[in-house]
Formats: sequence, C-alpha cells, structure tokens
Amino acid sequence: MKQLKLLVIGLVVLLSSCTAYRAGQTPDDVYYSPGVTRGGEETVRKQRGREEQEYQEYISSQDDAYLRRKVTNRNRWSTIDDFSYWNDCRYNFFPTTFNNFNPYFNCFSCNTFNPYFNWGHSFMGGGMNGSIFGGFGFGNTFGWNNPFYTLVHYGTPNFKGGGGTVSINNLSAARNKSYNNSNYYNLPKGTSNPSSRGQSFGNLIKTVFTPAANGYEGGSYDRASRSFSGSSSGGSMPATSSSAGGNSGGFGSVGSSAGGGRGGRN
Amino acid sequence: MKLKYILTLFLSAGTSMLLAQNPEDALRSAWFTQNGTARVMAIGGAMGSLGGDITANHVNPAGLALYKTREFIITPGLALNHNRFNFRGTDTAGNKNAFQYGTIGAVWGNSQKPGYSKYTSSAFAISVNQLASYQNRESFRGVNNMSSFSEQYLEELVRDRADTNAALSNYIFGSSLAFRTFLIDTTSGPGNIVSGYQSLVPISTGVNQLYDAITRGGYHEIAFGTAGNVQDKLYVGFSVNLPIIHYSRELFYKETDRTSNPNNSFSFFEYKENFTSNGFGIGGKLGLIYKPVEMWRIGFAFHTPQLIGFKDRIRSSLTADTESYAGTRTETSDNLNSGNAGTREYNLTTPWRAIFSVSHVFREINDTRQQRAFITADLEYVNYRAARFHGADGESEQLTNYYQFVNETIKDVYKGNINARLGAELKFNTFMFRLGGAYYGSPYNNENLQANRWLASGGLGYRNKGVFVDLTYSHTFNQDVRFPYLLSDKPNTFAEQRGSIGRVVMTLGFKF
Repeated sequence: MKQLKLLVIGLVVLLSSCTAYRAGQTPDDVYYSPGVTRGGEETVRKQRGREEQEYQEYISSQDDAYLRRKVTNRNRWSTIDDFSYWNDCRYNFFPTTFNNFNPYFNCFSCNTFNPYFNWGHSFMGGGMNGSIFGGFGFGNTFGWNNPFYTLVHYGTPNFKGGGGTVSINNLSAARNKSYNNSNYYNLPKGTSNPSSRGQSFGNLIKTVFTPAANGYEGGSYDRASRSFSGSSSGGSMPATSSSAGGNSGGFGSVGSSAGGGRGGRN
Repeated sequence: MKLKYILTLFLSAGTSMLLAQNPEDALRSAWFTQNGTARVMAIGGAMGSLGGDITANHVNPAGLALYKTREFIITPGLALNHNRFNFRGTDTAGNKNAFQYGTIGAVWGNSQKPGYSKYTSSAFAISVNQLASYQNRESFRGVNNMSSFSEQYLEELVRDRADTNAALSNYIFGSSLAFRTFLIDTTSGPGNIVSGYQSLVPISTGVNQLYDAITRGGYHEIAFGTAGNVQDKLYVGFSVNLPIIHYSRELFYKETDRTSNPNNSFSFFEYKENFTSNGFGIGGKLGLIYKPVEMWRIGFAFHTPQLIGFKDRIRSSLTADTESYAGTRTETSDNLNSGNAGTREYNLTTPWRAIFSVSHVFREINDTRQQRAFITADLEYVNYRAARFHGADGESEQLTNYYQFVNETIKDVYKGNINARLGAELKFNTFMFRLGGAYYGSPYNNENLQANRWLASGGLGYRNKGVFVDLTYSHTFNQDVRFPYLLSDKPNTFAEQRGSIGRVVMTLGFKF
C-alpha cells in the first residue's frame, strides 16, 4: 500500500512537470475546451483570433479594392461579380443556421438563382436524405468528409470443420420454465420422504429397497431414473445406438484414448 | 475490406471443429454495468451526451469532439465482491476482492483553422476499457430432495438413445464420467435388456448440494475513435472496437448423502470442471451530440453488434462413492482424451444497443473557476435476445439446425430491456463533487427469474496545473439467479443471488 501511494505521488509529480498547463488551470473539456496551449501561455483560441483578424483584414482589403473598381466602371467589373458563388446555399456548411434563423438560406429562393440545383445532386444533401437525421432538419450538415460516413462493414467469418452428433439436451433444459425451489417438506436429517413418490415425478424415479444391515433398519428410498421411450410398452425394446453423443454440451466428447470398460462392481 | 480478411484469417486459424454454445454464455458479454474513468463512474456511468471524457470512446464517440486539448489517463481500481445466495432456503455468503481497471488511453484534440473546414475541431483517441470483470467466487449450498445434478446425465443418455458403449466413451466431459464411476447405471427391462439409466443418488432422503465456482477474467475493449466538431454545435464521431474476452471458471460441485446409512449405495460425488473461453472480435460505435441551445446537450449513440470469435477449453473429472455398490471411483476427461482438453470454436454476435441522453451544463466557459455544475441522464436499450451464435457455411444440416435451436433458445429465454443512468457534478475552483445512480433491467424473459442491478456512486475530483485526479466509490446491488444444473423434464432449481459489488476507482490524468 505504501508502495502504491509512492507510485501515485511519483506519477503526479512526474506528470505535472511534463504538462503544458503546469502554471495555470487544467482545462475541463466537459465544460469548455480552450484548445491546445502553445508556449505555456497563449491558447489556440488567441492564435485563432489573430489569424481570423488577419484573414478578415485580407478579405476586407480585397472587398475595398473590388468596390473601388466597380464604382469606377460598373459594367466592366460586374462580369466577375462572385456573389452567387460565395453565397451558394448548396455549400452552406453551417448546420446550426436553420431556415428561420438564416435569412440567406432558402432552398426555394436558391433554386431561382440556380436552375440546376437539386437536393438529390447536391454535394451535401446527396445520399443523406434517407438518413434518420434528415427529419431533424440538419441533414445537410453531413458532407462526404464527415467521419460519420466512415462505417466499417464486416462479414461473418466462416469456419470449416467437422460436425457430429450434437446433444441438445442442455438447450431443451434451458427452455424449461418450470421452477421449484422448495423441498417437499422440511426434511429432518436422515429421514426418507415417501410422499414424493406419488407426486408428479412418479415415472422419473425408481424405488429401491434396502435390507437391514450394520445396525440399520431396512427400508426404501427413491433414485432418479429415465427410461427409453417405448421401453415400458411391453413389446420389443427400442434400438439404442453406440454412436450416440460425441458432442456433449457442445464439446467434441469422444475420447481419443482407449478408456476400456468401467470394470465390474465390487 | 482488409480488416474483414484479417479477421477472417485470425478467427479461422487452428480451427478444426465448430460446435455449439449455451444461451447463458451470450449474457456474459451483454449484461454489465457501465465502466470507465472515475469521473464517469461517479456519475452513474451516464456519458451519452456529456462528452469531454475519454470514456466517450466506448459509449458515444461523438463526445470526443468536445476535446480541443490533449490528455492521457490511467484508471486503476479495486472490486469488492460480496455475494449472498439463498438456495432452497439456505443462505450462503462470501467475499472476493479483485483488481480491475477503467478507461486507460489518450486523446488528441485539434482546433481547425477557421475557413479551411466546416469542422471547428476534431479529435482522435485510443483507449482500452474493461467493460466487465469476471473476477468472482460464487458459492452456495442447500438441501434438495427433489432433483439431482446427476439427472442431467440420465436425460442426455436417454434422449440420445445411447447404449452402454456410447455411455462409456461418447460423453467424456459429463455422462461418461458418471457412468464410469457408477454414479449412474443402467436399468433393466424385459429380458434383462437395458431399458434406461438410473442415478445412485437417493433423492427421496435428500442430498446436500454444494456449488462453488471461481471465475476469472474480463471483457476488455480496445477502441480507436475519431470525432468532428461542427461549429461547437454538432458533434459526430465513431469508433472501431476490438473486444478481447478471457473467461475462466473452476467449478466444484458436490452432492452428499444426508443420511449416515452405509447401505443406501451412495455417500457422495464430486464434479470438477476447468473451463476457459477466449474471444477476440470487432465492432463499432457511432453517435452524435447536438447543442440546440447553450448549456443543453442531446446525445444519441448506437453500438453495432460485436462479432467475436471464441475458442473454449474444458477439462473435467468426477469422483463418486457408491459405498457397497461400486466403491469409490474417479474418472477424468484427461484419462479418456490422451491428456488433452476438449475444445470448441464458434462465433458470437453480441446484442446491439442504443443510447439516448441529455445533459445540462452550467457555464460552458473557458475560466474553470466559473464553471459550476452539470447534470446528465442516459436511457439505454439493449436487445439481449438479439445475441446470435454462428456456425460455418457448408456445415452439416444437423449442425445448422443445432445453431438455429441455440438462437431460438436465446430468443425464448431473453428479452430486450432498458438501462437508466443519472449523474451530476458540482464544481468549485479546483475541486469537484459528484453523485450518480443507475438501474439495469432484467434480461430474462420470465417473471419468476428476478434480476436487476441498482447502482449508487459518488466521488471527488481535483484539477489544477495540468493534472487531474478523480476518486470514486460505486456500489452495485445485484439481484440475479444461478442454476447449478438444468433439467428438461422436472422443475429447475436455482439460487437467488442478492449480492453487491463495491468499486473503488481512481483516475489519474494530465494534459500534454
């Protein structure tokens, strides 16, 4: 136990010295994940903010240049107006912008701008219309790059091998839904229970009579027994088989070594 | 496609015989409580919609997508089994402690540069989890004057119409041992012809029955998961799972005469069995988590059936003392099988399961000092009756029919049922307090077989300076049944189990 404590403490010290967050809080991804810390000080979010700012500045300057050119000569520059390209609703990758929240998202209005638009051929909607997600209104969020699509299909491997006679007795017993957890009565130790004989298991028992010996009185008791079907009908004995079994309980149960007989009784 | 061929090759290696299985073996890989990190254990195992914990890789892989950081964790634990049985009016109790573990692995979360992908972030995880532990000792005893373990041998031999040669040699793990030791013997009909079989056990005077099984092993799962985060609103993910199962059981069963009469041809018999089952397979889990509004998360996960190839081994022996009838004799399967164990190989398809979940998270903000609490709930459906055993294509009609019978039996004795899990966490600056509970419904399709599992759990957590430590205690109340043997033509007897399992689990993790 002492070694375990030392091991745990050692691990904590070792790991805490390795972590990039040793100087501050441990992010809790259940609540909020800030991104990977770089240099122990600046989070990815901060870096992402800077990148976003740079990107916006670039886009903004491009827009400004375009507007200046268009003001100068509207007809000349309208031919490269790419508004519809950048606002094509087929390529709307933002799943959370429902129709009622996103004024730019409207499939019907989209069709008027793009006569070739068809859900069945759309890059995002194609193939997913039949999915269970379609009914929830965000089926369009699943593009082909989505890991959701990467399902692994497998088939059942097959074995080749021998069979044999398989006893299904254990399976029949498993389907027996008759239960009894009570003894016939509270049986005193060492006493016989003759009342059990006449009950429902009369054909499943064999009564044995014992002679008096060694100071014990003679008496009788019941053993469990089973008879081949038809054996009590009187006529010829039904055939039995030397090849019966062989797969008892699902295992190949024919012995591979000569067991011989079981020898005689004492 | 490659995976399919690799798996086929693996499962086919060394196969010489494909045989069958008992229904209860299907339950071993289906009915178990949720295991994972100490944090997940403390909240009752409710993990379907929360995310941000590596256990998501084994429950709802979409939860990995909440990671934008990287972490490594280990989860050692201890299971304290306390078993209580009542068998035919006699109470028995026993304890068994064992090592176990929860989720161990690493997650790599990555933020995406804006404008380059519709995904805000993505994550990848490799982890291993012990879905179920088989470390236990189940022991019970009682008096029975209604049936005997030995009767299953009578039923088998008579049903198969086995003659004495077959009884001697064709059932070397059961009936042949009983026949060779004179625990069972023939009965004579007209003309002294064998008319059936009888047991030497004197049922009417009653016998003391003792069942003692020591089980070992576990159901382990290696998971490779990946997930994507779309605008911090929708999270989707899937994982490929490799289940590895090892199960062993040392069974000792004994019946002794309740009388001291040396003239009734029975003193005792002992049956010993050493059984091992090893399986390896593949499966998948997929899911999504959606945030309709801030602080709310809705989750759905689907676990595909796992295809597991098994190889079982069995050795058994039987000693019977029939007093003046034939004395004390012992026979072993090793003696009849050149020292070899019996083997069987087969495939099992485990039941599918679906999880619906909802969470409410207070303050999903960066500053951990202002994060306050969450409450989460799972509803899981498991179709236990969907477990299937598979034979080989091209096998004999007899064996094909046998597998159909096995599967029909499973459909008959099991049913689908609901599991419910609920958990909550209260969070302060660096410390967290957690409580949880769960209920697992019965898989048995019979009202007489009372079975369920209730779980109560609680734990503490500490997170600071890039490290986190969680400590949990969970207590599972088990109600189940155990059959020492099964008979076709008599009412079956079973032990009622009302034990519990206490689990102490610690998770140690760090961000890197």
